[in-house]
Amino acid sequence: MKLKKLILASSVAIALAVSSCEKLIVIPETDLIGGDVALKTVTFAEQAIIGIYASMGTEMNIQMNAVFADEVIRAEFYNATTTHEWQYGAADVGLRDSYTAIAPNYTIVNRANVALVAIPKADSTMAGDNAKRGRLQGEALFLRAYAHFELFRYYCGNYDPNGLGMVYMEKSTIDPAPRIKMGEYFAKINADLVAARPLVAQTLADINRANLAAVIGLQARVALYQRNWAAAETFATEYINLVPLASITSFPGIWTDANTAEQAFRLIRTNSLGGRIGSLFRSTSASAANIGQVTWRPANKLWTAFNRTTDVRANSFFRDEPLLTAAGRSSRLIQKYAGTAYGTPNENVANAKVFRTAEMFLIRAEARAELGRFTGSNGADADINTLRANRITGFVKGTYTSAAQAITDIMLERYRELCYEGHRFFDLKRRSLPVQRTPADAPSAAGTTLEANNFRFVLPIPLPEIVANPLMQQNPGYQ
Amino acid sequence: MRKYTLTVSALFFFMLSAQAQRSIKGRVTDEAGKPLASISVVAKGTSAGTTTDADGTYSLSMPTGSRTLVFSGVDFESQELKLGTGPTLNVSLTSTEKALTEVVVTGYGRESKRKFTGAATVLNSKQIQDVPVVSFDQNFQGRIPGLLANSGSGQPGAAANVRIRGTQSITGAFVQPLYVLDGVPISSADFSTLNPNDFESITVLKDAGAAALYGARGGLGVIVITSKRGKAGQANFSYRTQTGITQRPAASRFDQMSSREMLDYEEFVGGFVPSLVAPGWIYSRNNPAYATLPATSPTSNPFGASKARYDFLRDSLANNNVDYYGLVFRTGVSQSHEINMNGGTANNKYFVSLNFFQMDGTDRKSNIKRYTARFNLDNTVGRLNIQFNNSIGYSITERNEGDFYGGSGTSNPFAMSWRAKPYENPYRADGTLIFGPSTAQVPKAMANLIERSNNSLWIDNQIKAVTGLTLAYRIIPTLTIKNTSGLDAALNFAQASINAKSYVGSLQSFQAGYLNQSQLARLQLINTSGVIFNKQFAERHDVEVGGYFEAVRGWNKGFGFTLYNLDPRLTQTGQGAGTLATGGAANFAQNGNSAKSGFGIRSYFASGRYTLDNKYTLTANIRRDGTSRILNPDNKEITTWAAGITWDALKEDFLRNVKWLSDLRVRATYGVVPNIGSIPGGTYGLGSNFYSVPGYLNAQVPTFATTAYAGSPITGLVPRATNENLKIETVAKANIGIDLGFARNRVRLSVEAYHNLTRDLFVSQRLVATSGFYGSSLNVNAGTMSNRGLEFDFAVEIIRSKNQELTFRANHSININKIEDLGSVTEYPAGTAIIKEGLPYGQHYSYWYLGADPATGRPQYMKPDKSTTTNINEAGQFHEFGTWLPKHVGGFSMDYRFKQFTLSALFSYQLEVMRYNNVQNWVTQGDGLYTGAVTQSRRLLTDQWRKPGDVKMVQSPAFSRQFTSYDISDAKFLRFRNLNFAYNMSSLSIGRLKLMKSGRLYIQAQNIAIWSPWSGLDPEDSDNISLGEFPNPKAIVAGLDINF
Repeated sequence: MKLKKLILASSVAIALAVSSCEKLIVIPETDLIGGDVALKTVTFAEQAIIGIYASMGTEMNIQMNAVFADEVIRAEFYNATTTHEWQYGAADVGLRDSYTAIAPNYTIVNRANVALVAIPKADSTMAGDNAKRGRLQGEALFLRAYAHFELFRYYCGNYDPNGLGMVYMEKSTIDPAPRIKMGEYFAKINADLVAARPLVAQTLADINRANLAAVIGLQARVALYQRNWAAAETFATEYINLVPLASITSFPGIWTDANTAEQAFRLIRTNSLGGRIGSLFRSTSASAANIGQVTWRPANKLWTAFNRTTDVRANSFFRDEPLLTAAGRSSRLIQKYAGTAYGTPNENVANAKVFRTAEMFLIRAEARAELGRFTGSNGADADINTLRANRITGFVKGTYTSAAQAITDIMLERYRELCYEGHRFFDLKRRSLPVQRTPADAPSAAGTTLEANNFRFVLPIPLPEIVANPLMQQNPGYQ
Repeated sequence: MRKYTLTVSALFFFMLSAQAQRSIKGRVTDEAGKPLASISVVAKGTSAGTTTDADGTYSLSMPTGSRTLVFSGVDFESQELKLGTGPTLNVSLTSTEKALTEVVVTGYGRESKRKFTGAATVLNSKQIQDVPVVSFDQNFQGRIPGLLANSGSGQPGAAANVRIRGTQSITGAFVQPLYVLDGVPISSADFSTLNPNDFESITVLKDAGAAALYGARGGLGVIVITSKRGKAGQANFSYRTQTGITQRPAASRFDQMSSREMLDYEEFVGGFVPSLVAPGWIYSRNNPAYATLPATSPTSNPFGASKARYDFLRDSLANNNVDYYGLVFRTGVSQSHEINMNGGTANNKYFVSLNFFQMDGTDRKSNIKRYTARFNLDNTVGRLNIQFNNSIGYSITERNEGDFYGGSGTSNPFAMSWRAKPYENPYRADGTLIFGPSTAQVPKAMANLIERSNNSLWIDNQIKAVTGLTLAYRIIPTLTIKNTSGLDAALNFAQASINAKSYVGSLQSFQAGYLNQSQLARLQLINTSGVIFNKQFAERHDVEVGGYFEAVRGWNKGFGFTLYNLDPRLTQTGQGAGTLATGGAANFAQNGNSAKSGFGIRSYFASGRYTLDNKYTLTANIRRDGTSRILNPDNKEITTWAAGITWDALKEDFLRNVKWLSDLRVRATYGVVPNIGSIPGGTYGLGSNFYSVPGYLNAQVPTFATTAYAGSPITGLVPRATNENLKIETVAKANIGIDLGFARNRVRLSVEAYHNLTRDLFVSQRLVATSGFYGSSLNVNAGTMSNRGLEFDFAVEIIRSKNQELTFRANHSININKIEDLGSVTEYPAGTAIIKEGLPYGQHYSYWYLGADPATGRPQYMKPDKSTTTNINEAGQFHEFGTWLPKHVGGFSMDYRFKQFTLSALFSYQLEVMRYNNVQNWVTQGDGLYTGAVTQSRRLLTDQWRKPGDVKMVQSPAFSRQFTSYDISDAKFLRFRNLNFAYNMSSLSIGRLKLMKSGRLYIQAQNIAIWSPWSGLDPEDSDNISLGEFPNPKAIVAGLDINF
């Protein structure tokens, strides 16, 4: 009797112990910003969007298009032989150190994908959260499209629906995925932009984050690269209608960050956050008199492309520094991102301008010329005349007589207007033009010309990625 | 029925009483016939008892009701004997040491070795007690086949790094085996607060069959410790004391330049590197600047630069020859006192001990003080048996603050012992220190080091309690239920500080010292319940089956902070600390932090044993373990099994008459053990330099880091790379063993062969770019790794007589580790090592140095195509330089007794082991940078390129050499590990007053000598590289044990 009771009691005790121990194997980490807690509310989810902006930059584009094309000339320090003189392969250290575009852009994509999963599930905890939820979703979609488009510009040939695109990531995963065809790739980019367009902020109240004009600006740029001229014209026009072109008077303020003219979207840079864009060309100075080491000077070809007395751009983009002459150093400097005075805390600090109205005029002009409307009131020459009238004092309007003439002139104007903004090398590739440096600008005989359509216009997939990712396909010429 | 029992009992008692009290006497000896003193003799079931005298004799009045005597003594197996009819009862006891070779403690029970199927080694209390080391795992080296125990620090209290049968895991390469004390798992982080003298035995379980009982925690092997228990009889008191010294080891093949040589060498290097800043070059007549100096200093500035002044300085420096070893090291003093007491009745036994231990390290600031207490109780009431084990300890460890930061930096005394220039005199004539800003021209590094250690304190206070309660209730003779509840709790309180009012204090942030404190509390609970069935059928069949449920729960909680700008009047306190300037920043960082975490393990398991005719034994177990340390619900639980067989061949009829063979057993086990310890995790910092709290799921839960974007006031969050699909690694272990005994077991040999295969091995896999984590790696379950080995354990009793005994023992183990598979990759570098399929874990991966180019003196390296280059960018990295984990590990010992004197010696050795010698790299660089900062080796005087045509290993002083194969050195060694000489005293009486029952006087020495091709202070280390580590000391103690 006693024995039975004891067995019964111990069985009950053991059964209790066993059942109450289910939670022994489910003990959460309580001290982590992670799991379900991290992005639980719309407020928290917004932090994930801010995290994406933190990883964005135009710096690589600026440096790459300057160094690989004909915008700069080597100056006081030169260790960029392989990139400046087009000797790179998939394992190149110069590419690895400065131009691993695959890294930051897929980081943006992944961060956007993580946010896109969290945002729809996030709790609304305060008034306006549902509206904000939509806006955040729009921003994530825009940023995902933006980064994928950047990947295309670095790693793909000119647009061809059957050509090799990159991997389009629509969810966050560590599993490898294959590259897809450009037709499908661009369909996804455009779909993300179409979806983002009504969701993002519809005003220009905060140009530090994506908004309607920014989405339109990217749509215009994508259409340009896709050679979808009608769409390019439409989107460029929409942008121009939202953000007017800067005048001769307001233009210099763009580059000193005194105003935000023409910009639908910019990335704020401070001396502690985001880095100094100007330092891509010249190191910061020890003092007002001791100017920092110059790594890249303006190419003579570009310097002489401006009328230095009438063109407002010449003094915003360049500086002929007497202090350097006095020190026996070459005096020409790139001024576009020079920030405050030499030796001051904000030297070389300048915001990154992602989209500008001038680019939209140039896109529209090119589209109109390609559509055969090289002249007339809605013709290419009208756009170029408007742009030049707002840059050059005493400018006299001109007229194009052929589409080819228009395109050549538009390319020259892109070279001038958009120099050091991350376009030149991509433009030459896009138009199947060579990089043609003048003998005075060329670092060597071999570094004078990169023939049109050379395979090096498309960057190699970095070798470590080829090794790590069995599905990653290398670009032609680098196998 | 009850009435009947009562009647019979009464009758029985009557009969016993009728026999009346009788006196019994006799003699107790050991197996060799030597009389045994201090053996407790108790009449079973009563408290009547006595102990034997020095000649082994006893006499006792038997109380009524008892007809059985129980003989027990320290180091001997208890024996019960029924009284015969005569008045004398002589008995011979078996020593525990031998007895223990017959019993294996598996934690859930004691298994007779004849029925044990696995691989285990047992250390007994004799090998553990009185050794002058603080952490008991420092005793393992050379004693246990298949176990590698190396010490990475000579700091008193430092634990050893223990590996059983090689490295089973990459992520868990430094995870320690599971330690279980009296059924309670204990943390390997705080052994310094346990008293090894309290331990009765330490059993190392190496195979799957035995370790499988510990499931998920036992993958790397299990070390089971039992503490001493009381013995029935009159109370037995012991007092133990020892006192001794610790000394630094002698440096071997570590030949550094004298002051004059160093100055001459600096002059030579200056010829190649004119910018060299070092007195030997600055004051050199060869220096072009010398010629421009005036002949003598002007009278207005008698110490001004001049040829005469420079000559004087140079000459005066050359005559300083400071002994830095003497300044950094000291001879430390150690002492310990212990009282222990045990006794009780057959049903109620206790063991109590109190111990104080204190040891100064060889570093000027290092020492430990430890206070421990233990109380063990055994109580049997009817069918209920209770074991209650408690130990509590408090230790205070002080360490040199500079040693804590370690490395080769100038705050580390062990780095400075070879770095500092011998011509730097840290003291003025009046004995004050010459500290202050140090330059290569006027070095004050040594004085600053001493000033720092005088004005800093690093201290760790630790409280540790281990408690376990085991209840066993025999429901019916064949069925027992058992429950063990235990806790292992530790509270650590650590502090590092630098006084505000000191030179080193002025160099800290905010220029007035710092105080860094941290506290960490850890608690682990275990509860094991089981039902055990045991029955013998028909005299031939012996069956034991158990079903168990076990729950383990652990918690960690800690905090820490750092204070600056301390009050200059006070030391080691935050009181009076001033405010901190923000330096104009809008935000200021927090100087403190806190964290908490926990884990749980839930296990169900069953084990069974079947023995036929005491000849064949089959064992098997199956278990299911689940843990919170795995995030994915599908992977949380894992089922594993193990099985074994043993055959006692001498029980076979055909071998029964083979007289020369006294033992022949064959054992085999195979099983799979999960390895929970290797699951990658993370840590939470605590705002101080000391502890961190483990984050068990940090590598699995999707987590975020914070970031900032200037375009928004909102803090950004960015995802981190984590793997939500981790699962538990498993180790499949196969073991075959054979035990042989010859000549009545005077010659014994055990051989084990094993093959371990780790599956689902965590491998660091490079993430694809599209994951968003280009360049990062993540641990995935993708590989396999094997360890194969052989172990030999040999003992021979050469002399065995009444007056003399001589035993020789030797063990040798070979372990071959191999990375079999790495999943999607075939290799990846891991620091200065490579993880590569087909190679062992720990393989060095380095540039291949080919000596100086005879023409130019440039350092030459091998290119990937095996050609030579002087351009490091073209050099390849190679893996032909061995591994830092020894392939051969072993030890041998000799024990000799002559009458009451005993002498034992233990040697340990490790072979086929190569380690990075960073110290050698620094002292043989021979370039401008290192010549200016580090005393160089004499080797450079003969082995360095000086002019074109020289064929030398070391490059010209004009060039620097990378960290290369040149710095990988052979670290094999033979160590004279331990020597013990003792005199065993018999009882001492004055008239009728017995002063003591027995005693022992001994001298014991640890780390007496080492033989090794290694150059430096100590070839032994717990990792792949020798930096400025605290070398393991020599220790010599004299001790006295008295039993009352």
